[in-house]
Amino acid sequence: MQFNGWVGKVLKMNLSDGSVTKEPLDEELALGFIGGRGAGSKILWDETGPETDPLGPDNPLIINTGPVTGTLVPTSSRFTITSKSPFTGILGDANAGGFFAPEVKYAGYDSIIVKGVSEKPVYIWIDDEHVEVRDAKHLWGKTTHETEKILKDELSDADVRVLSIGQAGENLVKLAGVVTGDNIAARCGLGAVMGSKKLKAIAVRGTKSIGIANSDHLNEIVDTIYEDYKKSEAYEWYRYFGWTTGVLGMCKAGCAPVKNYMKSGGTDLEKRKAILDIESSKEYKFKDISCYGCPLACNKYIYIDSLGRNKAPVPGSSHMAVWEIYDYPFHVEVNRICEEYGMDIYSVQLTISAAMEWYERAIITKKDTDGMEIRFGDKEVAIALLHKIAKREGFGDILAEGGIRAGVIVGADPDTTATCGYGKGMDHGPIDCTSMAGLTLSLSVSTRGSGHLRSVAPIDWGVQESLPLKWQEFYKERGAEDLIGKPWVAHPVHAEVATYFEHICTSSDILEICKNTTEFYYFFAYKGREKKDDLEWHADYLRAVTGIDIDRKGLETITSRVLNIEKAYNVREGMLREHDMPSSRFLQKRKGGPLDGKALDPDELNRLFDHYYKIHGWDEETSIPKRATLEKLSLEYVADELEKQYSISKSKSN
Amino acid sequence: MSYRKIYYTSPEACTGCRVCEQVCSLHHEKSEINPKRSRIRIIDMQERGVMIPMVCRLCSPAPCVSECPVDALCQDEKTGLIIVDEEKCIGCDSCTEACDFGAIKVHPVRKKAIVCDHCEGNPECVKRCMPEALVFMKPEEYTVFRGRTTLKKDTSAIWPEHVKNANKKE
Repeated sequence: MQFNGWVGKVLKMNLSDGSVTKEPLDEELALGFIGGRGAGSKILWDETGPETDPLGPDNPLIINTGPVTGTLVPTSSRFTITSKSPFTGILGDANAGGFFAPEVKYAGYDSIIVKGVSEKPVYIWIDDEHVEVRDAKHLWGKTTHETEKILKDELSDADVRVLSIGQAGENLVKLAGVVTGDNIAARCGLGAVMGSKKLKAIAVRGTKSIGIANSDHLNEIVDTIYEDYKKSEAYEWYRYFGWTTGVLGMCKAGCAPVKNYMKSGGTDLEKRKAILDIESSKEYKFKDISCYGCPLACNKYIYIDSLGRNKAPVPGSSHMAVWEIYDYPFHVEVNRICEEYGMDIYSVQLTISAAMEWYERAIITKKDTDGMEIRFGDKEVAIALLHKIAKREGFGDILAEGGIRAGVIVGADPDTTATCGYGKGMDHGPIDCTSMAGLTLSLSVSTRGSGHLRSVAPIDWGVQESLPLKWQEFYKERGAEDLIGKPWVAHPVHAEVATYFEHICTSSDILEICKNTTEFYYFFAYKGREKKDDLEWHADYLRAVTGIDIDRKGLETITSRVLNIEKAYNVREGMLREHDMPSSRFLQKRKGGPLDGKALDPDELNRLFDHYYKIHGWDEETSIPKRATLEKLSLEYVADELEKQYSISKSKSN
Repeated sequence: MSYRKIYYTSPEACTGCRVCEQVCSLHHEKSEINPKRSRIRIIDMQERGVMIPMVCRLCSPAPCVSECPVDALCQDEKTGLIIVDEEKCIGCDSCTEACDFGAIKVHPVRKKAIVCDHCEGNPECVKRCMPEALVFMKPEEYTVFRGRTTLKKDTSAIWPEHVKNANKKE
């Protein structure tokens, strides 16, 4: 590869026959999709199809790093795992930070692709050029943290980086994730894919270098950014409170759900204030921890007498309020259990809260639940359920299929599991988007089921009370200045905002940069933003690190290409416009809280979705990407395949 | 004679981001990043939840200098820095063995000893350390600095349990 940044090698393994091949990185793929999520989605499009069984040998587990991973670029420590999701059956990807991705690059690989199924449990040991599939009998049945410790002892190097699954992944729990250190790539049930391959862990050590095209330019960029951070208010928040700083704003805006969304968000503000991270960090926090190369250090170590040292819990707005439990140490404990078993805490929460509702409505009784009374607010039962789900014991075996499938098995009203996922089968985490048009749109259209990390604007979930000047003007230009404070009105401007943030999220994902430093999160009020927006910064990083000639426009074309191939993947799996639409419970009327009595107007919402598809050049009726759109992005092969499946004539799309 | 040294402000300050390792290798290797070739190293004591940046302590007399079989190392009188004569160095690792801090090592490609050189008097790692875990000052300045910061800080959160309980009873 003539460019820097990428290290230029792909490691391909097949666990069925134990073969290991090292191939040069496809330059066309790298320049067309950059890396990370983009390259992963492209490979998935090529290698899988509607006939692929997510838990079968043909489903590849693609671990991708980005060109700036492991370089000095701030927060460039992430990797994306892509695979066909066993949870949703469509495109599945999840990403995590930590130290794993840079180590993979230092070992000399841009991506690792694992196919096939091993007969017995194995782990992969990568030591630069040396790649070995080793027996993992002694690791099977261990938690992720135990696995990591055993491997570090076994390889006698404390700096080896490990990616592993816990019992949840081994037992093919559909809510399983993949864990490295204190970070989890949780979404889409990709831990189960790894479990189906009998792949317990991947351990990496790397001693090679990553080339930098223009180190002076990189130094300059980093200096500017660090200076800007130091001046910004957002940086101070991160330093002191971690990444949950905006949660108070969310709670106030009514985005934080209560009791499986049976009560409206924002009705429990008083109870929440006491357990907010802003309060608890004063009491428990004692040290900041960061991922590789990150100046923010939003991760915190906390000390709680009964639990010892722990990582501060992740789940932003939830606080376990969907179970009607308000207790910070309990929150920490749940987070730790999920991390040790390797489970997605968001999906698990919503699945258990649905079960609690079934019990309350007497859809299930003690007979179904192994004698447990699954009531809202019961801490012991909630913890017991977590263990049962991870081990697939008794009632946990049903819940381990995820909320929607479990609902079908027990014969519950689909409305009770509406929060566990829409048509595409994925929940968007505990966020109450009822009667908030912009938020509903941006959560719904995500290409990995619904999701909060794909296009949500901070404006929409109310993490900040006052809008930065740029956004005030943006709204004004479109005649929507009176929209601020009226989230229930579905105005076309929401689609534009969602698209803007969609590009930012996609570009972060393909470069493998953390979204915390982008406008997507609380950094949206950050001063450096006035000089350049995120895509410009990202193009700058790419120029400095890789030496490719790219500007904001070029990067935007690439992010559009990634979005379109992902959308096309889902369309090929049969996911059309109706699957994007939010489910019943999100259309209900609010009772109490800040948006009391408000509900979304379905017609208005439909028009908003129309507008969103129009901006993207997708068919408004079906949401299928039009041929003209795909051709503009040099995705003719995608258009051909979709055309074969849906027989859309050229004339119609034009 | 006291030299300016790179100190860490406190074990709690370092977040373990390893930006120091990256900038060090970028500065010295010019157009490459490779933390394994960095002169500063983060010791991650995961069991205790503490990270400690480890860099040349400028010992006097320096064991690495006296252990060198070919006299390739010497200590600068003004700055206290260990200076490697690359022509003489044979990459034998004697200095690595002699150093208790693991602060000097042999470059895996060039096979010459590498050790902190304070980047011409303005260490990159200190400049780029966002949590301000690293400082560059003389020992006497550091003593005062450390005393002041310790006084200001409330460390009760990391006390062992028995100390916490004892304090609660009062």
